[in-house]
Amino acid sequence: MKPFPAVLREHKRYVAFRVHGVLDEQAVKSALSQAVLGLIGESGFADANFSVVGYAGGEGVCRSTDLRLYDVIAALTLVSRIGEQPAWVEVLGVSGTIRKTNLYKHRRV
Amino acid sequence: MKYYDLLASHEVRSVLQSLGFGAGDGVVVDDARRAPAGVVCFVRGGSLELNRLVVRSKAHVLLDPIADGKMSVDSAVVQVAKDNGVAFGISLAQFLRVSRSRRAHLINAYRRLVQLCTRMGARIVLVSDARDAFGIRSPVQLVSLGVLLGLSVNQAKWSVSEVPAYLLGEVSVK
Repeated sequence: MKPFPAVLREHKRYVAFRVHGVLDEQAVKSALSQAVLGLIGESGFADANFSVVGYAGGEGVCRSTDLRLYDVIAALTLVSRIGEQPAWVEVLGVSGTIRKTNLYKHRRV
Repeated sequence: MKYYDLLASHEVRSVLQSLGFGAGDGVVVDDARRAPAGVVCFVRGGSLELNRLVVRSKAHVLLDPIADGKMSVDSAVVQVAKDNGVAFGISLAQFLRVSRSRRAHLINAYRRLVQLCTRMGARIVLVSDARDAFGIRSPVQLVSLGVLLGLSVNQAKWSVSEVPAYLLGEVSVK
């Protein structure tokens, strides 16, 4: 017997993003988590299973579930400051696998 | 599907096009009669009296009909807006300017407006109203704002693509 049936598992979505303004990793991770927590609350945060999977050089990938995907993107949209500095987060694309988000990440504006 | 952000300052237009937005122009005026020809005319609302005046004018879009998180739109205003072909404009800048607690009230009021508009068939258009590079966002982020305010994903995509395209077509015909 499987510990958790595949049909009940959450559907992960990976959001590729680029941060304009601030590049410090810890500050960015903390700001994004706080933004999502602030917008959708603890219960929503648990539903979203949000986490920043990777971040380097101003670009990164965060994880959500399909149920809370647009809430997470809206939270990233409403980020206007990171720390004390003005910044904004550009969502590059959404995918079901980390591998495919790399295609979005290297697209230059 | 082509996305439009009708209201952004000229300094950020080139960045908008690289984010995937099509070319389209809108302007905020105080009086719709003084609007230049060939551009979509936005008039800022706020109070119930002002919103009533704007939906009866020749404006194309009533921008930011809710200020300070107070519900300043009733079903009569939405009905008149629908009859006169005036769309409701929701700007992202309004959400970025306010604090978290005031943003919560703003989201609540806009959700009620969106409910009214979807029930009565009035058009909604989502814009960034960016004045500098920190105010712009990608199309999917504007769509997510619409979803946050109670639109379905397709309705939100429609308000960033088809509704602005319709308004631009209407302006070019005149």
